[in-house]
Amino acid sequence: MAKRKGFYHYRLLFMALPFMILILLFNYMPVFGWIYSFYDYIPGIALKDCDFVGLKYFKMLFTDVNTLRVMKNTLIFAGINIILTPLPMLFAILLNEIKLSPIQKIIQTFSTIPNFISWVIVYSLAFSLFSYDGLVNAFLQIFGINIDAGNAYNVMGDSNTVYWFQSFLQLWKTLGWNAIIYLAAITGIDQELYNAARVDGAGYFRCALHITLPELSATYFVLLMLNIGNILNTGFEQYFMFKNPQTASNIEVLDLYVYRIGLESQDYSYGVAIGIMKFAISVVLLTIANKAANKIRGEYII
Amino acid sequence: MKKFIKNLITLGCIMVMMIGVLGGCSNSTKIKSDTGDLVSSTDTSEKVTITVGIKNFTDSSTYKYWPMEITKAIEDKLNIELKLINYDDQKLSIDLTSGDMCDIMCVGPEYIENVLKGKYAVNLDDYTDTLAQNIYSDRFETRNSIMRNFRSNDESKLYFTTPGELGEGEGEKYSTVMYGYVVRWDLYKEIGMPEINSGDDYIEVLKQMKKKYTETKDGLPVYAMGHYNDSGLHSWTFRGMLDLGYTNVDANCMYLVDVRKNELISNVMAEEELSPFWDDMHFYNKMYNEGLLDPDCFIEKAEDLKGKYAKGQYLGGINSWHYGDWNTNHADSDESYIILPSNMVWSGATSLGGWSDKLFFVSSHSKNKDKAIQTLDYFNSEEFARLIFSGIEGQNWENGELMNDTIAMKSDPTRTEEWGQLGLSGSYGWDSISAIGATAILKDGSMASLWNTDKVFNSSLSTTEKDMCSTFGLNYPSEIINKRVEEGKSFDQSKINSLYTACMESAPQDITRIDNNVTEIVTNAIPGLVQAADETEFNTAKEKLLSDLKAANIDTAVKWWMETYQKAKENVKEVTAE
Repeated sequence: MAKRKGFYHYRLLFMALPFMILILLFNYMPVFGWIYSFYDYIPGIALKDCDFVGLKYFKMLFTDVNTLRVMKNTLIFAGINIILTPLPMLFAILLNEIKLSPIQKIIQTFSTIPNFISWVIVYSLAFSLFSYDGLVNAFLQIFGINIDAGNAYNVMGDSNTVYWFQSFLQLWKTLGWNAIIYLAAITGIDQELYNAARVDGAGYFRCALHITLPELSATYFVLLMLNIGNILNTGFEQYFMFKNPQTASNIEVLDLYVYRIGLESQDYSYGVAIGIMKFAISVVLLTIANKAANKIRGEYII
Repeated sequence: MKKFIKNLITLGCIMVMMIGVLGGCSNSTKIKSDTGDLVSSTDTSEKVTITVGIKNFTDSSTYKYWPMEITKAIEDKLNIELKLINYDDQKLSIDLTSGDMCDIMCVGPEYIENVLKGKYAVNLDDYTDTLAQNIYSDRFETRNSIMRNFRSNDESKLYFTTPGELGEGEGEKYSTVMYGYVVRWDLYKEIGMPEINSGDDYIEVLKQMKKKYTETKDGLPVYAMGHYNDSGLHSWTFRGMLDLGYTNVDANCMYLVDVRKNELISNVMAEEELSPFWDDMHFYNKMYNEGLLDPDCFIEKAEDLKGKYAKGQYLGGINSWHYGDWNTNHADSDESYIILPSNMVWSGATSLGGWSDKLFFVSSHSKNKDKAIQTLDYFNSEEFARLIFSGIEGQNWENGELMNDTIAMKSDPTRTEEWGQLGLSGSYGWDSISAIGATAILKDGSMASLWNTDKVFNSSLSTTEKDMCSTFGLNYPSEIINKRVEEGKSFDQSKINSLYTACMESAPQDITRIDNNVTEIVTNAIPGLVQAADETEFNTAKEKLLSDLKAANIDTAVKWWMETYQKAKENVKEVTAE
């Protein structure tokens, strides 16, 4: 009986074991690759036969003007994403207010589908819509705006709007998916609170403002702190697809720069050094976010 | 019972997940010989699979018609199953690191150090009299000397072969003009066919054609030209290269060689009158201000360009790569695109050292080393060259001439499947593998490619090409090249000495880092230059670019390239005793 109880005790741990192995293989084992940043690594040649260069590539980080530029771009994109983090929560609240279940399900499904569309497809769609010959400019012509007179808008080639345009695409793609966790949290709110509020005369808006929002704030706060800790992980596929000579200087984020240096230019050692720098900054930010969480909420996230 | 089933399901899920995790692990078996080396079969009569890895190549596993008749002929000859595998830089680096490569690999010169220091290449000298007799034939004396002296890490051994060798008098020749000034033939005739001798002439022609054809039949806007932005600077500097007479040494087109003087220049830092890049920036700036350039030209990729050509939205261009289906769909009308030659025509180039950017070697880790060497040797044979360029003897050609049915097959749109299943070079990239070039003269006195004769050039013309030929008094379209060269209006590439670039040492990492960085800077500066409203704005943008390049240490890289090219020239002179 005690033996059986022990098995049930560890059952969930065994179920989590494959994922732990995956994380170990793909997140922790590659850390051994950091050693390449201390050598002039050449693929095909054993590491011991490559020249040891010490901190050469880390010193290069501080003299490379591109590092500052890509960090700036990464922080701007991350900052805009953080500003927009309440939107999935608001979307979830609004979705929850839809009483007709089929309509709610349809909206939830269609808002979640973009999350599964590859950025390659999104680029093709965006090109069809927003290029000079795209649908947007075609509509402008229908409404009497002559695009041949230079009024056409080429948002995909405008470096000034790249931050907001890319953030808008990111939001469109992830809104439904990110709202799922808030919808789950909403279903966990005690219904008696709503009943009591309605008895006191509260309508939908007041219930949302005084019950739903405060109850969701804990979830929101945890996700916000994790987002801050993850601030440098803006991803790279989106920016890789939308990068062109007109937007390159503002769209190139850290991950895309690491890709360009490490894989396109095959400067593996320098690419690894940039990756290590990114890790170090991320750890510092996560630590700060964790301490801030403790100060504000009275408990750590991690 | 319920709990038991639940436990069983739980255990089953765990097992499935574990298998899924382990499924990502690869397993490669290697056989060790008695000496402990990774073995190759010494019995070449046994049928084995030979894999050939080539960068940016059509993978045989995804090619619709594989295995073609040509493939089967090769496999029957060598008693192998042949597989051609596409590589990119990332896959190549991974395979070099793991040592798990194809039996035969093709790499660029930038990988020589990786291959030789890692001891991945077989020394072909050990097989001179046995399996590699074609590789050591007299035809390849110069190539082998170059490879031995400059591509063997000072070991004076032969590790690499190259494709596309062409000796003296065997210069490249094509039936149609492939690079130059693209025009819509019907519109070009309508405006009176003015001669195009310069970029300004071309802009004038494009302007007049656009006045005649302002939108497509579907109401889509029409532009003179677009650009492909996924090939570095190539799209933005190629017209200038044709105009001034340069070919590129590096893939980014930052360093060019004058085809007449064999002098190297930095495309961006050279004097304006010498630099194709600045020639083109002025050209495209003028086109932009005339409203001729597609506004999406800075964001388009090759596929977008193809899409617009296929819809008839472009009137011009610089090469024939992106027509899509337009010419095929308009083969019976005169609405097709044709290309008129520029100052430099793409013909006449010899290649004593072969294509120096493609180096084939047999992997020392190959399980079938002898068979792989035999296969590589076959790629160096005249028999292979004739097979892949002209087809099967007795079926597609005989007595040094193509059969009429084979000639008819190529141009018959109803026999497209049949043509694809035949699989000649042209429909598949065999020319990147054959050590002998298409226009090489073989021992029987005919060219490797029996298509490269005036008779054949003349036999498979589209309606537009026939009209063009009758208008200009030509037998076939590219005859216009010969005429212009004879008249002194154009020059070909017969004077370029490709051995100089073949002997250049590969750039070290520090120089490559600078080159990649400055290429990015130049690419990002192009929109500002092209969209400059006037000369003042252009010069401001130019000054900024030059200042940014100097800050990025371009002078260090340029100095290295100039010195290395000069050294290569001296080395070639020593080796070939010029």
